[in-house]
Amino acid sequence: MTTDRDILARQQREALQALLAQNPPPPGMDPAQIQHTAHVLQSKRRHEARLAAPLLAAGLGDSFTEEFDDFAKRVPYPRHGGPAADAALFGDHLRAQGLLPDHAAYEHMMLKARTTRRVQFRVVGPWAIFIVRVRGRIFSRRFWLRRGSR
Amino acid sequence: MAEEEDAEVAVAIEPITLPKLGIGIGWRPELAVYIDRDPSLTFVEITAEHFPHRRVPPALDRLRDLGRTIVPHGISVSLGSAEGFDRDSLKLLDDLAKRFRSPFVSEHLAFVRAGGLEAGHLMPLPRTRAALGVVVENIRRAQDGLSVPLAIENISALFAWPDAELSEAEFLSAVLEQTGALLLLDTSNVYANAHNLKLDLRQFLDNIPLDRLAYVHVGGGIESPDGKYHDSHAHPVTDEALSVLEELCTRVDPPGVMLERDDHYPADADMRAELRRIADAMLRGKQKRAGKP
Repeated sequence: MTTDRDILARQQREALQALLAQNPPPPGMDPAQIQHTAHVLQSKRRHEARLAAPLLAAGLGDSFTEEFDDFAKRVPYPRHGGPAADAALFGDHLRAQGLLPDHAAYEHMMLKARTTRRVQFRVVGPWAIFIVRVRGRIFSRRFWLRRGSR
Repeated sequence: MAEEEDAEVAVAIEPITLPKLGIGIGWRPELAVYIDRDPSLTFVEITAEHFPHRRVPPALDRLRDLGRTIVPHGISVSLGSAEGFDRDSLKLLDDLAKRFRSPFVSEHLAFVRAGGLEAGHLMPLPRTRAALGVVVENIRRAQDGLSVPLAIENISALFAWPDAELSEAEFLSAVLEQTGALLLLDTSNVYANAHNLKLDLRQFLDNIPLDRLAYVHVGGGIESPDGKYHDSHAHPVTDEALSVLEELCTRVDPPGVMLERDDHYPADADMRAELRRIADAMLRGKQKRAGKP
């Protein structure tokens, strides 16, 4: 037996699939409104990621929009953590392709430590960076690895 | 018969005394210094999701110690989700309310996720009796998990669902009546829906339970080149949005009114002027209510 909750679940699922996964609009919905809403959601997601990761945005410069939109097509918005978690995922996406600028590495690690993974360790250029979140507080240390080249 | 059925689902709403909040603002780190320096701001609203680990800046504890009210506000509980709301987000709201001894918390009449997808934004609900039943059940369950009252906020809808059985005012009123929840009225969202979806804002204000009004949001916005109004919270409050606040104040004296600003933070003098415009709109509405020219 189909309940009211089942019906609403289907309506909501179909609406979000149209807005976020390029599915056709559900019957009766105005395609122009759906297209406009999809554009607003995408713009908002990109803008919030830009605010959450300003060093990354500066590092990518004019290519930020193109890179982010490519990422957003492949990676859905995260369930938890909001724009900070989304920006961390974007950093992961870039890093996997070797496109994460070095100067944005620390920011990326901080975003991850704040949202998804409590402990972060990475070697970036001559630095070893260690970040940990303990009961909501972030502690970080950097260690210089190369002697004599500073 | 219909009236009898409605009477069965309506909860017994006990009269409550709503605290007088005054003029407030959405607390953001970028505004912390301004808020500290402006004693006319008697309450602040915090977005719960900004403090996922429950660690809050000392500035907020200081505000609370100075007697300013702090209201936790949620954006990801998703009270309208058919799949059920997010209990962790609700617990976060409640934990913050306990910490700051808040009079109530607030969330939206909306859904933000379905079928494993996150919208990242507040989505409107179909205004059907079926959807009404689901959201009422969700809100009642949410209220069971809260130690303080819950206020429900109207959203600005980016799209309209087909086959609406209830007007926006009827839908919102039924939710409040059947759950006993308070009302957080966003006047800029009322303007946005009037402008974008041709809602009659006066009729809307006339038909919602203003006696449940806990406080009011006023946010800045901008009209895009395609003629749509965007509730951006990044621009000054428009005269049109302020006129909705004025219209509201011809009907009721809101217990609290606050400015929402999330980006492009203005200089202190401009912020003061923005708050002054809000206070002036309230005064104009109040004078009209009192029959003064």
